[in-house]
Amino acid sequence: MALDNVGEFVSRARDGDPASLECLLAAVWEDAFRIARAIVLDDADAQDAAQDACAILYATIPSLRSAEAFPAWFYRIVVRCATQLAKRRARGSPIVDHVAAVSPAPIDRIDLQNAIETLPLGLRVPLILHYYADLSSADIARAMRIPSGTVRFRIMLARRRLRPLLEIRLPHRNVEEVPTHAS
Amino acid sequence: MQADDAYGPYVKRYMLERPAREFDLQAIVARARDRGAAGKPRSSKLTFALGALAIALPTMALGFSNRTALEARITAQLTAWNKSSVRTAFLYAQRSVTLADAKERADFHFVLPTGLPEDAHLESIEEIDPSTYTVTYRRARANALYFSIWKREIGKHLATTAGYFVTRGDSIERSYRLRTYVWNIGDESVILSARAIASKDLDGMDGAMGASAPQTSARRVP
Repeated sequence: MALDNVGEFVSRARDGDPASLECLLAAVWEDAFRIARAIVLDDADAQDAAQDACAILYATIPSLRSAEAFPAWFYRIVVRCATQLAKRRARGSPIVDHVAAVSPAPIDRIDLQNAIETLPLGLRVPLILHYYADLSSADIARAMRIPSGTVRFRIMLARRRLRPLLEIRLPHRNVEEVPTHAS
Repeated sequence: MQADDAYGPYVKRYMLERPAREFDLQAIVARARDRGAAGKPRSSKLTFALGALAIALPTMALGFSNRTALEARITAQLTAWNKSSVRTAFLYAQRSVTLADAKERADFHFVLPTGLPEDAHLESIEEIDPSTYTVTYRRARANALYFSIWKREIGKHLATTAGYFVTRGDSIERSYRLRTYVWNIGDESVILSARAIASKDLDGMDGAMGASAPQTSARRVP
């Protein structure tokens, strides 16, 4: 993950070093864009949301309390920018907080993009932040403004929906469990 | 492979299989400026605004009938607080000055706060008008210290106080518990606005600034 190696840039950017701030923005851009795209499902909108998030980073990095808090802090900004944009785009239609029926039969060809993008936003965001951004359920909870227990529940629901689509076999158990290392 | 781990490669593949758009620094900087950052730390502006609010509210609550121009101005700004144009103009009224400039231009005896923690170094002095300055000290391992330095109104003592304030930044509503510590030194009032500060740091400032102004009314919030 790009954000694992930006501690030095974060520290210097907090102290007002403009060159480090620019390096930091360049380093985080791809992650911001990819997470935003996974939320808004459109390249142009993702660019819009990611640039908004980077602009907030540019303006508020001196207020960050510690460099260690940077990844969670920045992902939170990205998620909020992208979610707000997604909600504006989809105004008038329900976005989250429902779980559609799971297709009982695995599809012949794994269409990964469709499988993930058909997840409701409320399930897709915690899944991506957990597996891609490696955020804890507490950090995801703060980003989404929901309880951390709800985060773990939604990750479990997302996995349950994906399992038949991705043909994932559970080796020793039939019951999905909430990820313990996410807390 | 654990069932939980089986999903990670799929999610990562989904996230990485399509290229990201190109990084455009100019567009980001332009957006930051549109948001009102103008390349300056937003937090210091926000903290100053909260500091002004923290001072102005108890000052008004004490019932000073003969408001100074400065108090009236802050009152006006607070009244219009929700009007972004007014707020922006208020915040942008600050301009950076050197210590020598501040000493020359201030219409009171401008003295920097003393007794600060060892790791605090002066970052900026900003002038709002010749009677009002803000001073920022950056710290190595703790939050920055934001001071307002005002011309003291003779016969009136701003009091150390605390309060909760709700404000909005980055489209997120936040609640701050803000304390203000006031030292009245000669014709100058030094006001520290802080969300958290160590007792020993406060004791250092109390000792130094209290000693330089034995008639001050620095008081602790219980």
